[in-house]
Amino acid sequence: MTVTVQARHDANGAKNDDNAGFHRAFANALMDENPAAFPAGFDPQASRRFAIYRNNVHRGLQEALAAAYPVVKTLVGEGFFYAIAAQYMRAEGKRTPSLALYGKGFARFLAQHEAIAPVPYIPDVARLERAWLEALHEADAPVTGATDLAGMENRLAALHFTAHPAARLIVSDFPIVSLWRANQPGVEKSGSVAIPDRAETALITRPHFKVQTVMLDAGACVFARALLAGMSVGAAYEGAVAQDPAFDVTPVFAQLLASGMFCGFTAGDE
Amino acid sequence: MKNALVLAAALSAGLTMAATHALAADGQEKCFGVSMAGQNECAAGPGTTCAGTSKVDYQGNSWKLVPAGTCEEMSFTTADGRTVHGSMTKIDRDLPEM
Repeated sequence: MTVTVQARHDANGAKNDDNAGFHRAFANALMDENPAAFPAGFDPQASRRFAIYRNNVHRGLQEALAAAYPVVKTLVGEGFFYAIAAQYMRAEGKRTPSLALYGKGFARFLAQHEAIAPVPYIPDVARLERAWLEALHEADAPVTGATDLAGMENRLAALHFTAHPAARLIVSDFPIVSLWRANQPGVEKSGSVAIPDRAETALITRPHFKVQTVMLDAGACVFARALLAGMSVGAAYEGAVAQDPAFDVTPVFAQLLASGMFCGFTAGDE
Repeated sequence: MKNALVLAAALSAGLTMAATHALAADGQEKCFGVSMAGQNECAAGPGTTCAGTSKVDYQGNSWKLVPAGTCEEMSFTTADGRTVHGSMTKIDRDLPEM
């Protein structure tokens, strides 16, 4: 694209010693709030074609954001989402040519947006969706599961696990997992879905190349966070019990081992 | 730790529980060179998928998930009469022309 633009520019006879300057002017005009903005030194007869190009760029960025945050889009409604996406497009600075991971700062942008204040759970749902997308694109590593711990039965409390690159923990004061699940494609939209009023934590993993979302309660969240941070299983357990005296480690340990959140372990002393 | 034995037993029970679960969940492996053109899988996401982008049958750098242990035993006869096998790693045969 750049080459085509440059060739046309030269053909129009304009002095062009400063490629970087022209590119900057072009990029600035693309993102200008004024819909009539046009890069200086560009053939004015190309203004309509430039407007088409700008529209394509804007549309592409907004569609990429919509693809990355489908539940946020559903929750706030399409019109609202695209209005915010148009604002966000100008806020996200440095970009790579690939749109696969576009939208990194969207959750933070939403959290600071006054229009989102009445629906404070939206930024946390966005964090969950971002974690899902990042998990999808993360580096791969062999998962450590229950079968890898054969022979360690008597030393489990002393183990330290290594977090799998794709593992993400999203802690929220809101029922983000319930909200997220109720708005997945294929979920029956018959009437209203009851969303429990509680804090939920999402554990995102990618076993067998499929992203998976597990809901954790408060005790399990403390346990999982400590394990991801490299604490021993015993120390993580103590922390979880301090948070929730009724914490039952057996099913949670089983769930975490099966989730694919680990990719190695060391048997430390304790 | 006061309840070290209790914790050890609880964790051990969890390990058993997870092992049972893992048997059901495991059982697929990435297999290169076995998918038909346009039928490959891909760990890509919304708007960025490379699933279904393989150009030729049995393309060596495209993969599918298959039942664990079966990949390298798979063999196919190509349109030009060669016999090809699945591979757990990328292979150089049957690549699309650039």
